[in-house]
Amino acid sequence: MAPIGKLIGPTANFRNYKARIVAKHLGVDIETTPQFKLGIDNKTPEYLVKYPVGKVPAFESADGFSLTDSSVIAYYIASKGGNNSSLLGQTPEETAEILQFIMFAESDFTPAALGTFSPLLGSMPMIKPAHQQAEQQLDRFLDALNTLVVDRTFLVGERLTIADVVVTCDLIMSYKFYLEEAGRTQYHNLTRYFKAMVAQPAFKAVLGDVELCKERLKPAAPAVDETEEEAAPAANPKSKLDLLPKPKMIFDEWKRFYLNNTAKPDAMNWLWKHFDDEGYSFWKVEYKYNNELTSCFMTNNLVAGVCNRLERAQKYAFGCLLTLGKDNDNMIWGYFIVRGLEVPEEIIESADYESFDWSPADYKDPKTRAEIEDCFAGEGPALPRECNGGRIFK
Amino acid sequence: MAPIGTLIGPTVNTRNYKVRIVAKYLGVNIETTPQFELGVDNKTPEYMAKYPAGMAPAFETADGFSLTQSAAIAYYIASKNASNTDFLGQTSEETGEILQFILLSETDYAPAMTGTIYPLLGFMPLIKPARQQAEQQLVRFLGVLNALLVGRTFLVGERLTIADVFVACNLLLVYRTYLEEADRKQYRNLTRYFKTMVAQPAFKAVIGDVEL
Repeated sequence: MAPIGKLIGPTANFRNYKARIVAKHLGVDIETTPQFKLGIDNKTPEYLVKYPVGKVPAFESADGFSLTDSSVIAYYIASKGGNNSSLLGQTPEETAEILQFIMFAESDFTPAALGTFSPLLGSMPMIKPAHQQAEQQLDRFLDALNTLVVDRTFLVGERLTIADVVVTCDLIMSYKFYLEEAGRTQYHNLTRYFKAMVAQPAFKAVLGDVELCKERLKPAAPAVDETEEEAAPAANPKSKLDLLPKPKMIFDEWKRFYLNNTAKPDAMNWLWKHFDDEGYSFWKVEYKYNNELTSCFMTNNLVAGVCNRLERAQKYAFGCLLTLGKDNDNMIWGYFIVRGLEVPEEIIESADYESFDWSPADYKDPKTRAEIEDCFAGEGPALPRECNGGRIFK
Repeated sequence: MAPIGTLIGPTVNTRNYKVRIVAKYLGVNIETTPQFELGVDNKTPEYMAKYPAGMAPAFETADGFSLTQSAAIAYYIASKNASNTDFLGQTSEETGEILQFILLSETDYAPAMTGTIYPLLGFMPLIKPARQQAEQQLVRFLGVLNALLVGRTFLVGERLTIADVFVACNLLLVYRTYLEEADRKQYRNLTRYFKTMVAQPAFKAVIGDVEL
């Protein structure tokens, strides 16, 4: 039998499996490209002329029709499949439910799965807050699917449809890399469903045996230079700032005093009495894109995020970032005390550093001093504008 | 004509518009839920019991059939309206192409668009490397769409299809908040396409005037 067309893309790939499983189920022949190298063969000028987005897999039928998107290709092959039309549903309601599952799998579930796995596999940079969010979404969706299949053998109707093909293929990575035995038990309905699907002849023929996760994939450890033991009592310092001579003001004491007393006058008096300008420095911090800010509520959210992402600098910094102004006309403004006389590496390397101007502040100048006091108090005439929120970074 | 069902979800919302535009275009009556509060009404135990992922919009017909995912809902409404055969494609190939655009718009373009614009609106934390990557993708997609539309009025075939509704609606935020006048000229085919789409009666009836 002549092949229905050619599926272009890497073959050991969850997207590639979808069309092949459908073809197998229908008894239809489809060509594949086992030598295809992802990231190389879909970036050639020839490929991009045909498939400008560079998406993989692509499909080319014998009569020159071409298509991208793994689920759409699977759908198309099913629609050409002739007599076995139940793959696409037997009523408009079933077809709509099939599309519902495909859209859920492709626009909600898979981005969460890829956002979780790609940084662990190294195919995407690891950005911790993004990874955490993806993982939360993945758990949420696994839970939803688990609930949905509690009393179903197939996702739609009483027979295999391409909803099952798409969802099962999209679940492969989760079952291979993520769900250890405890996780599989936790989502036991979904696990039953997944195992039943991959055991079907068409799936088995394409996937072979699916080995379930023994140990959850962990982030690739960065290559570490094995360091020798230091003769000094401390091990290798984690920060250059730990190497500085012991300062006359203890940061934690300041932080404790600030939190347990009113800012003006008590905490500020303590600060001016104890401040050690050889061990610490003041910096004025201003957001570069104030014209892009909208409601104060949103700006406060942004500030909260910035402070969360400064976690690494927690031992070496203290500051207040305020939202000053009103809705659609506000700014982020504040002051920081840092360990040392320069902005610490831990702050410079944070995701948000580029969005702010850090300028050295002279606390001996009366105007600056007044600003610092009102900043740490969250109110006062020295503030350039009215304070409508903000965060203390401690 | 009796409504065929209720679209449950916030009404000032792109996903909601898509379904309503399809219904309007096909002359199908659907009910909506203008009081729906996103983040509140889709997290109630009752809602989650029916729709475990808590996603909105959802759709319920008079005889108890329910559905989620705006694309599936819109497609369903169109499929129950046999009179307009172009709208979902006349051939398997056209339907394939239509679905290709819907999936492209929803799974590739939309995350790039929200990843670029949402952090500026405060709907998402601003994580610079993630936003930069999203913006690169967005620019790439806008270029591709612009090139694709050079000789075309509609995305598939010679008439409006459900693909146009989805792609044009997903461009709303980009045209409202991101593309300035110079950019609009740069993507001139895309801008022509977008303006033509939102000027169509069904779009205008649901979205009103679009301020660029």
